[in-house]
Amino acid sequence: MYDYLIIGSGIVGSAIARELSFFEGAICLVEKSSDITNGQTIANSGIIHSGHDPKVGSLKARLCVKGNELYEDLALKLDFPLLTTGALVVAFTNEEMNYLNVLYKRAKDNGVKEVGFLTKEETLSLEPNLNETLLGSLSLPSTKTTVPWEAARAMLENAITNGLTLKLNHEVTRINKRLDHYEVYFKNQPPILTKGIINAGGLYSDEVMAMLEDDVIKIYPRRGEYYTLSHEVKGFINKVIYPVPSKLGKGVLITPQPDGHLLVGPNAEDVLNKEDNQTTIKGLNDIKNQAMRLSTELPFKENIKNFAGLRAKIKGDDFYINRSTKNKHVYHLVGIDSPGLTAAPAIGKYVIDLIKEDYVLQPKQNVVKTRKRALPFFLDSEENKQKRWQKEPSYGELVCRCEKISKQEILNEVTGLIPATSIKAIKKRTRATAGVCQGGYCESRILEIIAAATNKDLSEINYYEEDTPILIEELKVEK
Amino acid sequence: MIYDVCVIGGGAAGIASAKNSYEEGLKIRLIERNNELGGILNQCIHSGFGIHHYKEELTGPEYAERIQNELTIDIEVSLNTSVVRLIKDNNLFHLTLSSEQEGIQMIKSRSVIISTGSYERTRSQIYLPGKRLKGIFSAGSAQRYMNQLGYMVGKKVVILGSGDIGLIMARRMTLEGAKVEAVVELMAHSNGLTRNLVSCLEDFDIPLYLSHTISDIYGDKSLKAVEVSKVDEHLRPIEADRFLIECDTLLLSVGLIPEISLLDEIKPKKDTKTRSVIVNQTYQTSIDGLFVCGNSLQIHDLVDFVSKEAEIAGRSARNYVLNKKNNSREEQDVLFDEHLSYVVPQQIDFSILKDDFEVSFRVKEKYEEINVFVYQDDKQIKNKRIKFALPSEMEKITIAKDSLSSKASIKIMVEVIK
Repeated sequence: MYDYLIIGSGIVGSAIARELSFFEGAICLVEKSSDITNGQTIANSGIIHSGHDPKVGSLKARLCVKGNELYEDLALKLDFPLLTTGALVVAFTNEEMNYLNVLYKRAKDNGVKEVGFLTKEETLSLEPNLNETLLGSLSLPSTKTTVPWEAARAMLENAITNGLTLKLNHEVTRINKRLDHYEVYFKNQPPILTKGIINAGGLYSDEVMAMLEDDVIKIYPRRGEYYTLSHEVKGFINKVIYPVPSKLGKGVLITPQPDGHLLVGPNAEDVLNKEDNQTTIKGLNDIKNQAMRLSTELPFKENIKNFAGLRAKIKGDDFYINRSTKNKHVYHLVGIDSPGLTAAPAIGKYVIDLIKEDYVLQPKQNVVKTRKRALPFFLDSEENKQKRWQKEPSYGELVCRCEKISKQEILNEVTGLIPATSIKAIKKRTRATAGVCQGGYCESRILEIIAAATNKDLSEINYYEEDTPILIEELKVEK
Repeated sequence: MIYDVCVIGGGAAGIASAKNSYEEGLKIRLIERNNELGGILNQCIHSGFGIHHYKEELTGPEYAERIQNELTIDIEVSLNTSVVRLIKDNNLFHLTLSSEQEGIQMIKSRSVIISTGSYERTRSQIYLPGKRLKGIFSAGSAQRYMNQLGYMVGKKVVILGSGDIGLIMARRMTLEGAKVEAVVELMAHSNGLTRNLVSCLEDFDIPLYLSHTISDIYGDKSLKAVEVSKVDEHLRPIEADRFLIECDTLLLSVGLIPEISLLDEIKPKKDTKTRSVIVNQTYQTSIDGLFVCGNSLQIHDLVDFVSKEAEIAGRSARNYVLNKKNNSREEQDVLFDEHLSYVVPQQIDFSILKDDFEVSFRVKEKYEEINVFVYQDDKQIKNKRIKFALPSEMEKITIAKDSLSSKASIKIMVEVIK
């Protein structure tokens, strides 16, 4: 019997898991997918917003500004990538210039500490590749970017070190309420008993909510598509570039990633299905046109990958984070869309506070609050490289040419704290296959490495989820 | 110790250039990341290699074996070794090697030949929309999975792009029991060699849809179907003219791109048309002592021509090392008109012009017959009639050294006859 069962391994579930792991009690985190962070966390802009956008007084505003302040310390403690880029909201018309005043006031009211106006010349001297017809900008120096799935993974690994149990391939199908606990049922897995439930199910949190509550907050998925421009373009744009929001939406952003890539997107399109994460010709064209207004020479020819992610929109445009009114020890987090990544560390603390209002949480002795990640081998010092290779010779074998990832780094992740046993999971952990050739060279090599390390046949290694083997069967005739 | 020539990449180009750079007394090292030489030839188990070079038809592995046997033992070959960094300092190249056996090593060399091949254009580079699903492969990856790992990748196949690897894979998968439903080509002409169109598609009744593309991709976790659309004259899908093909596998055979990421730090002058570097007739780049050949210089249709190009690059590197003193270059561009998509070499260095040389090029469109003229100082110095000039087939024209009467640039002009 667990004290708390957290549903969902996205950035929100991971942040809550980490905070909760500092207290006594048995916690389990279940994830429906074959790997952590395969939902909203894998496909978003990766921005730690300053907080100029959410409505004043909203939970989004409060948790966004607080979350932003927590990230720097968190990235140091948990050793995940964080790039303090700052951001510019760029105006091109007098009307947009006027709107910058509205945004300035909103930022101030929301508690954003640093915010200021820049003239045309100041803006262009900072970002010479912006469209020079701009009139001015609003500067937000506290904006940062991170690798969302790396941040979530760091939080989860920290929680695991403090005793959290992580269960992958656990899709909740039904929840039965008992006198003083819940029976949670899963697709193709035995049930789990727990006293409390924290529903951080992301896009599916409304469906989990419906298993327990009469009144459900419904999610209306909204798709956003992106371009990823190769790190060949590093330095072309150095800050997060926002357009001035319009009636049509927040608009397309240009976002420098910690790894040097430039993300361009998202558009915003309401979709019916929560798995409608395809890119479209129309969507990609729209993004291109909108982004070229910000920067006319944006090098789209360096595009190495398009992707789309869904956001868990709800009516009312604020987060819904509440205790259940009829089920003890049950907390729901629904509609955690943007700025959910930014807010996540604050959401973690907010949920703990909610629980503390209801029950006593006993701090754990000897709790670990830090986590270390090994430096990518080829970025390490010559001396360290030598030492690491002497201990593990497979560091010497380069597997991913584009991103410079060695065989040993892949092996380390196959047997890591959160084992990565699919091509996609290895990509998330190591960046292998994420470069310009998109795995053209190394994917088959990684497949062989995973199979050998897990003692499986090559045809048992999945691309992504369960039942997505890359190879279907051995050829009948010997090659 | 300082090497005279380091050749990076041990495929067809690397082997030929290493062999031809050798001369008694010179220290040559050939560096290959795989556990065998031969590069991509090893996964090309079909025949058709060597028709020009050896006057017989060999399979890829046979061709690889043949050229390896010609390598002399005086060339140091390092297998399972990657070059992770290349810089030039004080007139010497510094290579950082990485391998399981020896860890990280630094070596120096007077000259370097890049023969690192190419990579396949990816899904995102052609803006193919739809979901990220299992079952979508580049044709070369599928070829490696089948021919080197010995596994099938799917049963019902659609191929986007009519490049040669895609055509070869259409035949290969059919012979292994898969059903190849269609080959879909955006352009109005095929991108493969005519002989492959016949022997890989026509002989197996595999339909080729020219002026079509894949406009959407369907499936849940794995590929279930693709939507094929006819395209208009701007190559945009026509909404009213589309159909679905059920399939579990989509192979992309949409072109190769020279792999020259190792040159990111040295930064030789680049050619946006070939997506590689600018070279002169000796295949030397704008950096003294740095040579590039094979698919890392320009995408070839036939390995025979790779070998030929690499032989010259190898001899050039040898001459460069033996010459010792850096002569000042006298370089002029090879100009060309709008009928061609590129030329290689892009420059002629008159200061070291000792032999006749070849210029490779491709036409932008398909022509039944063209007349290619080469001019220098408004004087015609060569002409060549070409029947059935196709963008998919590299053409060559030989320029005789003696036909050049000055050190002015030459220009290649095309007259379209039909």
